[in-house]
Amino acid sequence: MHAKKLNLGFRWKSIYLLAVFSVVSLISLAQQAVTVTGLVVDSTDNSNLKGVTITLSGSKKATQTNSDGNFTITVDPNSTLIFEYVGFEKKAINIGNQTSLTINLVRRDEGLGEVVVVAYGTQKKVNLTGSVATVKAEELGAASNVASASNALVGRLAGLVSVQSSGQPGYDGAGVSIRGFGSALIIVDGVETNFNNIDVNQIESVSILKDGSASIYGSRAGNGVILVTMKRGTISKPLISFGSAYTAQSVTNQPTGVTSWEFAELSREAHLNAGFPESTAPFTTEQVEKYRLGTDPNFPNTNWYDYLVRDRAPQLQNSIGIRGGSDKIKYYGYIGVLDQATMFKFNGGGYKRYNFQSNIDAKILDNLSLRIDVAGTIESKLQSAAGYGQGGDNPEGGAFTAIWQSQPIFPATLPDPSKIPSNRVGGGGQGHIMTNVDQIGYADDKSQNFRGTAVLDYQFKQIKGLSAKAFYNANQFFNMNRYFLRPRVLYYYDFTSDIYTPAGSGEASLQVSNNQASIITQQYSLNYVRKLGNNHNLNMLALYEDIEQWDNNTSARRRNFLTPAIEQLIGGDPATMESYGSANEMGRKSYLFRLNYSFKDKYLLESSVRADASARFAKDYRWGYFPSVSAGWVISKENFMKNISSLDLLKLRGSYGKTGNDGGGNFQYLSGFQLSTFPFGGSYAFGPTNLLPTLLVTGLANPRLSWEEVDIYNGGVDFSLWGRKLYGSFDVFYRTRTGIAATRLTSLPSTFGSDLPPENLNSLNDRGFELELGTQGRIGELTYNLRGTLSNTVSRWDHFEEPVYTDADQERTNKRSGRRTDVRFGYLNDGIFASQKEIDNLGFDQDTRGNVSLRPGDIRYKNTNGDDRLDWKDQVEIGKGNVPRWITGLNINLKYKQFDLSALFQGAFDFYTYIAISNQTYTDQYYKTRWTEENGNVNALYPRNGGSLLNTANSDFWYRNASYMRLKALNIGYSLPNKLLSKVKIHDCRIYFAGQNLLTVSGLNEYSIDPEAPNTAGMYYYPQQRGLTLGLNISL
Amino acid sequence: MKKLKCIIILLIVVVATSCNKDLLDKKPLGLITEETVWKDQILIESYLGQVYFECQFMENDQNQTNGDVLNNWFGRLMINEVSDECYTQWVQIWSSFKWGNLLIGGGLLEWWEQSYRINRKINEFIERVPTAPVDENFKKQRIAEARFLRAYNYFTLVKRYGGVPLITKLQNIDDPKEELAPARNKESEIYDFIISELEAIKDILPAQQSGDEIGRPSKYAALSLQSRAALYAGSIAQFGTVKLSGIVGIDAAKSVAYYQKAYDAAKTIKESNNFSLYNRSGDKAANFRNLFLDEAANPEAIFTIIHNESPREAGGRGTVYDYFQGPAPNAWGLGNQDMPYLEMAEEFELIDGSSGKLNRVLVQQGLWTMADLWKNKDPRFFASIYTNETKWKGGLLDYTKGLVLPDGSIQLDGSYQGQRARGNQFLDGSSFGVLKYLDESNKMLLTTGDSKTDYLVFRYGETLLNLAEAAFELGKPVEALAAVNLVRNRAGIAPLPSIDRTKLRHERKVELFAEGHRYWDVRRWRTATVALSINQSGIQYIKDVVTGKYKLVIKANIDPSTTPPKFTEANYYFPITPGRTGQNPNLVENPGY
Repeated sequence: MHAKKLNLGFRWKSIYLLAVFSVVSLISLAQQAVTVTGLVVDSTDNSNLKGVTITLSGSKKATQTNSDGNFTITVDPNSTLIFEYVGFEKKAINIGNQTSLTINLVRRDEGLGEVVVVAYGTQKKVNLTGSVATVKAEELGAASNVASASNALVGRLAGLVSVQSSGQPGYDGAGVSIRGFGSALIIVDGVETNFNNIDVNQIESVSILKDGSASIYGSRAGNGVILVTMKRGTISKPLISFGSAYTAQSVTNQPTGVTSWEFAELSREAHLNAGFPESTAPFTTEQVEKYRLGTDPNFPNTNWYDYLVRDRAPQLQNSIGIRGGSDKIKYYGYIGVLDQATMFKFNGGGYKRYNFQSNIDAKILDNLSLRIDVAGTIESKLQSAAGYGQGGDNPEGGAFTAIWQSQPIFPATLPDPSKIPSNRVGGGGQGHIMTNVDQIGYADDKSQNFRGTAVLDYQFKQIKGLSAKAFYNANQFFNMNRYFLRPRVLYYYDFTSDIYTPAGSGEASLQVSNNQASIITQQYSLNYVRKLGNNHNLNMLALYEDIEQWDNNTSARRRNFLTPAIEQLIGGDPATMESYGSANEMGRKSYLFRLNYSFKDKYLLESSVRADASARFAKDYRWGYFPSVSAGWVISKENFMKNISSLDLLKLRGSYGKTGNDGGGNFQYLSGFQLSTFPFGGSYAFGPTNLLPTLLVTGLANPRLSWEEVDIYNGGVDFSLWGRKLYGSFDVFYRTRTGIAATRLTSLPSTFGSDLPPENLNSLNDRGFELELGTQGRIGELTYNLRGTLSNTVSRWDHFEEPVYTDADQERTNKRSGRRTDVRFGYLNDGIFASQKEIDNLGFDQDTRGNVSLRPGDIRYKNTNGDDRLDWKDQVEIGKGNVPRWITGLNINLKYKQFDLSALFQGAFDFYTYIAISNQTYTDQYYKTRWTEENGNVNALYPRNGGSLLNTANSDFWYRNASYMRLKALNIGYSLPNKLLSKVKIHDCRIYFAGQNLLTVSGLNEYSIDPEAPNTAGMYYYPQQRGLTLGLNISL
Repeated sequence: MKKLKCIIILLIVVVATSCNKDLLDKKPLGLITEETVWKDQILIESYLGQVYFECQFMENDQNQTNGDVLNNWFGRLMINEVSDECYTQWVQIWSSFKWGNLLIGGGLLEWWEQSYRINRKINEFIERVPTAPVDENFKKQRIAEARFLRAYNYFTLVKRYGGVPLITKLQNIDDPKEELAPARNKESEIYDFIISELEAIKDILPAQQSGDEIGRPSKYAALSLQSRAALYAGSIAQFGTVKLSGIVGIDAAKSVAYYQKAYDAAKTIKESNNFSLYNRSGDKAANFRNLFLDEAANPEAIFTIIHNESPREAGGRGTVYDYFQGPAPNAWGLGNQDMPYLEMAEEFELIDGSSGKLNRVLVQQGLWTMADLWKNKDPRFFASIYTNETKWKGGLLDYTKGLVLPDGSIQLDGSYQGQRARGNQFLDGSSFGVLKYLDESNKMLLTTGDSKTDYLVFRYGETLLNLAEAAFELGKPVEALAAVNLVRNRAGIAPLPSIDRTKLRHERKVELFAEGHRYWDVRRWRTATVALSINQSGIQYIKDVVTGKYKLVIKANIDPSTTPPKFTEANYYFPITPGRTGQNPNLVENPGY
């Protein structure tokens, strides 16, 4: 099974290598008359420029500068060379009979001439009027060793809020949202899709549209838009690049287990503390001592966490890319392979991914061009049948729950190696089989995604500036999931008598699910670009788009396998056959129009409107209209500013836009019945043979339901001083969401017997700001670019559909209208009781039974309303939500001679998480930091073991501020000197060391919890990983 | 070149104009419209099938339809753990309420929102079906069934919350506000509604359901529910206190009428001679055990819920009962979810009718065989409870917790001359498990709810005990005694010479053990504040290696002594909860919360 997958990998690799080498061999390396060498530098700071494209005028011949800024080209004498580099003015040089050149390139608009990707096109950054943040391949490259693309964006874009809540291979992507708004619309090369499974190396740039600039995406864009652009061909000689990276992953922060004697001691302590008699304690003191001595084989000690989790889990990435082209045809090809192993020592499965891409831009005629892109992602996610997700959402309970419930008082292996030891009495535990594919079985998820795009672009000759474009994309998904449970028997073993006692068992079953899905996107557009006179620039776009999608699922299951050797449905008992099937379909249609106008590049205006229809809503409520308008004023271009030479750029921006969210209504306008499924229905039996399928009403319909409307206002300023010695931007925004789908509560008590259908009822507003500040320059041979981002968002309900509270305390603790959306209520702790006297003098009834259940070491709560007892009325606000309100990032890029360094610090502040360790299982950290009678520590992290049931009440004792600052990424590289490389015809060669999550400063460190751990997860989840990478990039 | 250009432009035009007109006319696949359903007899059957599915309270006092897997797994067992019958070590979500935690937030055995959902579905059914163009007799029967389910549904509500809003018509969103936000009816009005509805349908329903109709209520199922509900109402009137103008509590003067109703209904069932106590085996213990397993025309079954071995996740009707209730070894090594207290085990008398209470001093001295320890015990004990050395799947259950060595010392771990110091069962509990309803042939592997044992909602044994209690409270002790002795005779123990309230209640506790009655019984008798506020015990078996006999250790305070079980006066009714009273200001909260 495993071997099969490896074979697949090798096959892809060999096909790919074959393709690359045939391309290479086709390239003729004809010799010409004169060999010219030279150096290209930045005119502002004399730094060497890498990757400048040098073309021989009037021919296809081209080259690029290497990492030292050097180039070599063989040409006829008296030729003209053209130097082009993003962000710099183009330069043409007649070489005459020179053979050695130094070329100064001048920064265009002081570094702001760069072009950024915006909706349905590109725009010069200086002409932007909306709030758009962009990160480019060069910067993402420093994080090219991460498996999930979203992790490469973390901390790099002002306004992007991210939380990475799991380290599980294949599922470790960070949850990202723009300004904390919720799921953003993700568009990859013009099509809505997921991007976590795309290789970071394939990405050219990522832009986020934060304000009204997202309006052009209409009813889906209410939470902003993330635009991902893949690399394409360039006019240059073929540049072949190989990349290879090896990463060792380890857990950032998680407690480890306790020893067997600590376990016995804690179990005994909990029993006695709870008031049970000593005669029934689970362990005697003699037994605790025997575990401590460890001489009796019947008293073993197994630290299951250490036994099952390895120190370093490997991850290997290899890729090869080719890029080049002429003015007639440009091409980009890529193949990448990722193999990420799990943290488990035994066969825990892993994640494998193959990405390939081929992008061709061809000029068929001088006014007709064709673009053909083909890309694919093949993924295989293998995990044990117990699953590595959070909690126990599958029948076997989840591997992490199992590890932590495994008790150290059981041996890890038995003398008879064919017998599996049990490590817990009763339910749960068995971490050693739950993390091992060969023992419990597996969940094997294989998916393939193929994407193909064809674009025709026609420039009308009759009307100058007018072009027509047709865009067609087919996105196909295939998924097969095999869930196989292996049969197993577990044993207890007695070393003295050599007796094996069966402890538990399980039977084999197999479920196979297949899913196919298809999304077809078509766009047809007219574009008109015109310069009127010297001062007026006009750009108009009209576009029609439709999207059609469907999916189809089937699955089948059998149990009672004849032999586990046949891992196919056919091997199961036919009497246990089960099958399921379902299908869905969906469609969208849109028209949009956009106008850009600028006067002297000083006064900028953009306006757009989109008409959007979604099949999710009733006919009369389908169409929505989403306008936007934005304007910019480049003050620094005004005459009265010309004298301020230190000012490179000063621009004011303002925008308004309307967008929508259509997630709330999924065909809610239709009401009827569906055959119901477990657990809400299924079948009902009458007599021995009559099994009746049951019919579930889909609920009351609301034909008037439509998407929620989002209005966003944004103001911003961009500036640059002293040749970018100081640059930055500042944005403030205000957003309202109205018509959020909710059900009417106040008018309808639950005795009505049916949920009301969702209506567009709730509303909220968000406000916040983003600040970006940077400096770049050069000191001697050191070039630097430091850039920091800071953002803040606060949301508040304007209207939340809720009952009219008559009780003042109910209103205080429950009412949400007019309040921030992330308010949490609970008890306030007042420390830990130090003595019985403190309990006796408490003055109110904390435990509803006269405080008889309280002992020193229990949590003391504040009786905030001063009455005679502690109850829900004493709950007050104890913290904020689980999403950080403040996000900050600091990007550092340094280059010194052959060395380069990039570092990213990420900070997140003002958010909370619920510490759930003490009510799960014992950890070494719990053992060391708990309250005990001996230490009497009133500042202990955990109250009395086995203490008052109230100790686990929702309070600020457990709900803790999770603010953190971490070194998210570090990348240190060394590029081999050109002198060395030119001899072996290597263009560029860079060795680097990179790391993720290397250092974390957080208040949760004392609990051994990663600050990004999911709320309440405790240790029951796949922890975040620290990665240490050694990598090599070579380009030819 | 010109040609190529033309072709391409043409192509664009063709593709652009050929876009699918139906692009936006999508809908969820698999949707069946309302019009179709109410015209189609098969779909009407399926509609009512869903109502049956959701009426899980007939078997299980925990709502299972909310998608919570724990409810699905443990629901049927929980009710035994909140009473004084059983303790549990494993999933203490519900039993934790036993320790004084039933406060205004509620959370225990909640069944409100789901009840009213079911109520709405039934009201809609009763309004829609009369005009459906299908067989008239079919409509008559199914409407009567729907009314049975509605009455049962109100019974689940009233025994929890007291008086609740009684809604018998299909509500519309546009109805007047006072109808949509109704006040609570009196507790007696709910009982009266239940009783009168059952009265109205009992003669529409057939006297007997057979073949593929088993599982639908018959006339005698209606009478059984009537008897049980009236008995509850009678005892609440007799022992309870009227508060909130009768929203909770029933006027004491009404108790006689309710007892009479309970008596009459039970008597009608008895005199129909359609049912008899299951008595097919001379081995009294085996007989009582088979009563719950023998599905071949069981003469004691009045109303049955059918189960099969196909898991519910797979669209079948299996349950997970055997898996969680059974002893080790099973998939996880141990089920034993419900662990009867030693006091519960002691409640079972000796065959001669003398008390089954152990002499706790004596029993902890010397060595015992299991035969000695449980000598002459009520056969129902062996059929209802498993413990050390109970026969199971060809072997004996082993609750050994330690060995007495020849020198008198005790070894707790490892083994001594091939004898293991620790048995294969769960040793830190009470050392008892529930055997009632357990199917020994079940493989007891997890993941699949494949327990196929049918569940007896009403059985004739309960009818006789209802009859006895109603008769006793009506001042007919002779008839009461006779009914109780019928039950005792079948059980295989000596008849009672006389009857009193304590003996009646004791018989109910033993005969109906772990069938979900006890918790509700002590509530309606208003004895729960005492019965459910005590610490109870378990037992440990320490094996003597020489004789093979056992030294016994009583484990006091299985529930923690610092937070012993506590049932407060307020707990006789569950709280309505702030969520519901906030939603509907006309709902008053129950007293004491």
